[in-house]
Amino acid sequence: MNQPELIVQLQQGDEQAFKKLVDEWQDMVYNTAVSIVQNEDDADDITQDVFVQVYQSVSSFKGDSKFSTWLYRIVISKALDHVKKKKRKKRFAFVQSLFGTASEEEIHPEEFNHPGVLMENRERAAELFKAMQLLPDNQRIAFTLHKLEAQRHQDIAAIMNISVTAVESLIARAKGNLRKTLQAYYTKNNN
Amino acid sequence: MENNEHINKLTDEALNSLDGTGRATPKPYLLTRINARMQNEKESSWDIALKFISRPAVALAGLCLVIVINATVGYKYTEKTTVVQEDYVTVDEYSSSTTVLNDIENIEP
Repeated sequence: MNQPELIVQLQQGDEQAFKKLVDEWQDMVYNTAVSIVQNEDDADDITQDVFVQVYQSVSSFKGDSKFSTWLYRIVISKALDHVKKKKRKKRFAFVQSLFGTASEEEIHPEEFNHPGVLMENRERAAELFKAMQLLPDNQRIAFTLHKLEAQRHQDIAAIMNISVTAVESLIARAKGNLRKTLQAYYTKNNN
Repeated sequence: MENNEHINKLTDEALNSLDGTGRATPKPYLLTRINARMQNEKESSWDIALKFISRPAVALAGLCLVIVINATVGYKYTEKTTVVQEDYVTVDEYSSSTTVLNDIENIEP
């Protein structure tokens, strides 16, 4: 079954087609989500949410863009919403901490180890992920799609609805900002 | 100088630490969990009705309707009571003789 056929069957509510869709795209959806939210349980929740939304709104997919582009947009939007919610919660936890009612995990979350990172790179990657949290959303998304999803600049441009030049610029700025943050971190922790 | 080189080396290592990273995979039985979530999200007709009623516009319209009905019923009742009171007056006017007759009958010897 090719992709257009699969989508037509999905639009007709075929459960087998939905199962096939989940099998085919679950790794992509989960990997993108976990790379943005940096928490495996949250990424699992987002993955489920994404597929529920796909099932409910596949009828609105007109085929103007690639199916993968449409799916990436849903994942990114849900993941960014989640990050924003978490930031709000963190700010609230900080206020609560002034009164001594917030948990330690809410204020200082554990460091994130991406499950796909090579064992020898784990420590450095955890520091990079921490630095990625400080990037503006668009730089973070472009860098994540480029580095962790190995997407081409053209595809990232389609997903983010910007030009290829803009994508290149975002990735270059993301690398520059990450370098600055990491240098500051190592300078502080090296002395 | 040596320290700077060391910091640059660590920074480069961190920036390149995602090279060769594989895709993370979700926990098993994802489809089962998705189906369970969809089942939970399916709402009963009562839930839909309650959600509809609790919409501010619907709730406000409902409240206005209750007030209008209440006012109409109140107005009609007041009108009816006035008519009834007028009837009593009429009865009173014509009942004076009956009272007189009764009074006469009940007079003790």
